[in-house]
Amino acid sequence: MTRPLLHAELLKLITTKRTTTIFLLTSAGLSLLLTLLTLLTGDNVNTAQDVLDTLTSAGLIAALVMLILGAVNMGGESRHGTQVGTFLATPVRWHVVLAKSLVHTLAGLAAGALNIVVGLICVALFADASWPSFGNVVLQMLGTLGVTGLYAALGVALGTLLRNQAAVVAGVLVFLLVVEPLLSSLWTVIQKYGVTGSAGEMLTAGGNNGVAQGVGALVFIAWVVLFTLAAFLVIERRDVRGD
Amino acid sequence: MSDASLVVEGLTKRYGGRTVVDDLSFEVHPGRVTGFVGPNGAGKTTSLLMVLGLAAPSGGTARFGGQIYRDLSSPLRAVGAVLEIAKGHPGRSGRDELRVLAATHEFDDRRVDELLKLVGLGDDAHRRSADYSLGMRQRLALAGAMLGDPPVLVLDEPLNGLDPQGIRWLRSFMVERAAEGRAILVSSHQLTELQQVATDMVVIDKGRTVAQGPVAEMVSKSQAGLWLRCAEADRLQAALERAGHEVLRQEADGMRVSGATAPAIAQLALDERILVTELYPIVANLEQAFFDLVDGGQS
Repeated sequence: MTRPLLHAELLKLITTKRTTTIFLLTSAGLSLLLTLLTLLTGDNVNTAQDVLDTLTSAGLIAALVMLILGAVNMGGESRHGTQVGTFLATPVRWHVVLAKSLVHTLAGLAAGALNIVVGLICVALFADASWPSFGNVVLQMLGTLGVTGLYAALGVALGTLLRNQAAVVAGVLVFLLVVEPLLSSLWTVIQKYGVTGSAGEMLTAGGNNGVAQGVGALVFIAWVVLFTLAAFLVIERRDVRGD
Repeated sequence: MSDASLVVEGLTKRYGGRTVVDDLSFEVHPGRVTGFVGPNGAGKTTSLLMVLGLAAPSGGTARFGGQIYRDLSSPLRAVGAVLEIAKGHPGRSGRDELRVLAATHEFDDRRVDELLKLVGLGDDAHRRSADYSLGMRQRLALAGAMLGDPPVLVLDEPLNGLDPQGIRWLRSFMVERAAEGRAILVSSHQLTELQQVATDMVVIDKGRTVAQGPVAEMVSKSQAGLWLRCAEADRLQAALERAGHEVLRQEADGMRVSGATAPAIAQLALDERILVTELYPIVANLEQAFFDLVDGGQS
């Protein structure tokens, strides 16, 4: 995998700027909406921990949007037929998946940064609770950046595995919003170390569910690496069909 | 050692129990245009996908200068390809499509602009490729294939969607590139057009090679003969066969006759008192040669 390939994948993202912008704005917009709803309705945010929890929820929503961007863009290679040119230029296909993952991680970092700015401004303007410590704010920011970046890379892996854009978006939403929460309610190990659980722990300063932030980060990174390796295997074995 | 730019040996593809391409072998040489023809479903596109590393062969190999496509260190400099199934992203301009490809091999934007002009898309470079006509998309794909100035071109149905000017342009494009010493493999349904540019031909049917060789040789082997339409076709056919001529009945009242001259047929018909309504020589061409090869001239 080379620098020119990274440049090409970055160009793909930039030259479809309408799609990329929509996703970045949606990510930031949903974060803003969720944060404002939490801060302005009811009496939910009273402590520094409540502030961190609010930022965590907003960060997860932003990350989910970036996951869909990754999945849609990778699935789009198949849907739009651009994979033919892509694989002719780069016949070692796992290089393409890796480059796309790295470039989407950058997009995820941008979304994470937007999310942080939006979240902190909202908290500064509307939260009555005391501020978390400076250290916790930094850890929360790092966690948010990491999770949004990794979620986008995870989206690329899922888009490779499932190919069909509609299927991957529906599948991701059903898995993350229905299946995993259901399994989490049955087994705490899923709650702690599942995809969403570990992402939540990585995102939250100090960790979550009794799992330290660093451990959550390692587990979530392992999930992303696992799905990405599966994507490498699948993309190398899959034929581009002419029919 | 062969000077072939592309050597295909025993290429085979099976999907489940179905063999789509069966032990296909041929060569493509520098300075020559090799036509790759066959009926729909003959396995042409699948073969090209395997040649270009986009589908894994069940057996056999395709090598460009001794290397399979996947092992080429700089594929766009070695092989330029236009595939019918390739598309552009609907949100991206034609120029950006090429820039993305160019970036993988560090070709600069001047090369992109130069090629867009070469294929006549200079004025439409910034339009979204989704708004391009089929002919414009073909030109864009050709520009992509030429990015690395490769010595081998693989073109899958490049004439599809082109208007007469476009077809003429593409013919010149292929002839000029071959004259520069490039090897060109081109699949097409448009045999009449192909005959004007192809020097060699590979004919496949049901995944197998039916014939290959120089076009001139293939056409000369075609059983051209005479076309005959008449009343009482059954009786005249029997008379012609009794006289030792080869008859291929293609319509209820029409047939192709080989090994007889027009006056001989006319005399025979007169002797039998059968009215002949059409009698003319069939000009030997690639289309006829193709039909002879794939369905014994039944078309």
